[in-house]
Amino acid sequence: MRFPQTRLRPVATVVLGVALLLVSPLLIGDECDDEAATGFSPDEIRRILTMSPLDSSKALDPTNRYGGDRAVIDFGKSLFFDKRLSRSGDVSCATCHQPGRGWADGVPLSRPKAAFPRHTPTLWNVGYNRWFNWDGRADSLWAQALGPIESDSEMGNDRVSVVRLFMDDEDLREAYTRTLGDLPKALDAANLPASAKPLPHNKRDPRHKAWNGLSEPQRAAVNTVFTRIGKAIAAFEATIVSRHSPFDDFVLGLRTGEKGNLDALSPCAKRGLKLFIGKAGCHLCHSGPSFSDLEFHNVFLAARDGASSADKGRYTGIVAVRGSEFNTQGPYNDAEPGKYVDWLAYLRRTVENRGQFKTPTLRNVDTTAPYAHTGQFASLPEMVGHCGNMYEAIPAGSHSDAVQSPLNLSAEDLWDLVSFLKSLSDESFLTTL
Amino acid sequence: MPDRIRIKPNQSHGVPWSPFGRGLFQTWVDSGCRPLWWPGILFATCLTVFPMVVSAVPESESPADLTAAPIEVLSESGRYVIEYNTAPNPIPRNEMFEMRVTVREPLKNGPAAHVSLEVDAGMPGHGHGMNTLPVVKGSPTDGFQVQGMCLHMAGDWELIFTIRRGVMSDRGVAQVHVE
Repeated sequence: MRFPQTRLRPVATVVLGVALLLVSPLLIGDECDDEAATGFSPDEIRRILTMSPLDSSKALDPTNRYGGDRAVIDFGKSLFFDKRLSRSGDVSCATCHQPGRGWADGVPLSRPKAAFPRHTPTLWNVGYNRWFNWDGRADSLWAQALGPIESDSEMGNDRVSVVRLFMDDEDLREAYTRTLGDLPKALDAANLPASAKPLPHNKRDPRHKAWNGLSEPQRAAVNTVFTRIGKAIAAFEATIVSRHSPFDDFVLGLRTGEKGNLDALSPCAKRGLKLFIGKAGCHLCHSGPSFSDLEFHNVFLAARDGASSADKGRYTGIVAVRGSEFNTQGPYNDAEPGKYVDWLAYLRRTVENRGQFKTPTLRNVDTTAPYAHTGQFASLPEMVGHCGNMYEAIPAGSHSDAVQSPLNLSAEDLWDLVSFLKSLSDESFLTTL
Repeated sequence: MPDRIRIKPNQSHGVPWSPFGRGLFQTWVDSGCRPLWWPGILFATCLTVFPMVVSAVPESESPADLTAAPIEVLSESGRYVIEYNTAPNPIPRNEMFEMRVTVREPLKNGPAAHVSLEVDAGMPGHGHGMNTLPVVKGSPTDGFQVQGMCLHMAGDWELIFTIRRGVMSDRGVAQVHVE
């Protein structure tokens, strides 16, 4: 390209340069254009980008040395569905955590005879949690997995019976030694009682007495095997992940500008997303790619009929996790000091914790009905109606969390929010089972 | 004296290294150093592309150290100046972070002596505080290290520094916003 040899050439150069400068914002893509294309302001987009993608590495628990090990995951999967881990032989983890029911059980209260019956929480993305159970009574997934096995209102078994099962059953023993290591030498079936576990609140129970009759090396050996079984189950549970929902496609579109991705959300769902991160303020608690702050809140919910209104939630959960022999400050934590975040060391317990329950993830929330810690809400519209307009709110008692207040959302708003929540579904993991 | 220097192609001209190559430069010199259109275009292109390149590079995360310039907070009585910085910086949402805090006493022109420090945080708009109980280590002379801080929700928080000396207490409050 050559300009004619005239005195206008320098002028043309300057004009062309200025023109290029003027069009450069168009090449970069300015904020106004983003908003026109996506329907979201730069501030909203910045907020949305914090909600996807879900980092797969964060599901690996440093306190579980077996996490991510394919052989252990497969073994843990078989144990998850194995009813022999229960005392009666007819209950497994999957009895309450059913894959086809959002890894829950579809009923409001799973254990009506328990002191504080609660709704079964979903296992979708459970490996991303900081605390486990509605009240956070466990601080690792493997410790959580052990609780139901010994709970009399769930699987009703005891750790010595479980260990004996692994010693006596050839297949289980082979799988255990192949994936988790040798059984400790201190274990001798001839010197083990048929059944034993610590029951500090029921010292007259023969199982508690039998536990106290064991030597310290025997108890340590039983606990080692028992916790490794929990770690195998946890290794499997940590793979139950949902991260490729239409919402994630949409966020990918925000990053790349691909129109196909930007169309992944319906107009209704986009309006719901706008409410979610704006007027409705859902993102304050249901934050980040897990759609949960992993912490605890009192959302002014009355206990459902049949559930105890005396359930103090996190207030008692803190006592439980601090007192657990299987917490991460105990000898069964596989992480070296400094290689994991020691949340337990800084855990605070106040009266505000009364009535607090863990913020559940919203990924695949469309598949996990009913909702809330005692299954108070049969459907998503009911749940969203409470969170948005507090239809079912009761006085919170000792705790006042002003973040939750009636927003007077319209029926259209509520349906838009429901539409957005339905866009968080990805059950592709089920095809790998 | 000629108004334009002309260098013959086979003449050594002693021109220093040119980013455009000797041939191109020589051509320009041969043309009598007339104004060319392409340097202007190149300059404009650089101006155009540079912001694009800069905007495409993700912002590096703040280093997890405590060497950043501290933030100063005056205590309510005006007696103490509290200086703090955090790691990571800025404070991340819903992750544990650490603080380094020093307490100065301007009237005595040095670190406040014989004081203890407590640090807490709360969300005035929500009516709640942190779910963690921070641990303060260190001394007034060497500075305090605060561990176990976690601002678990997005929004406006207050960092509350309580300074005690004997039976007297004073406090400073810093406003922070967490994204």
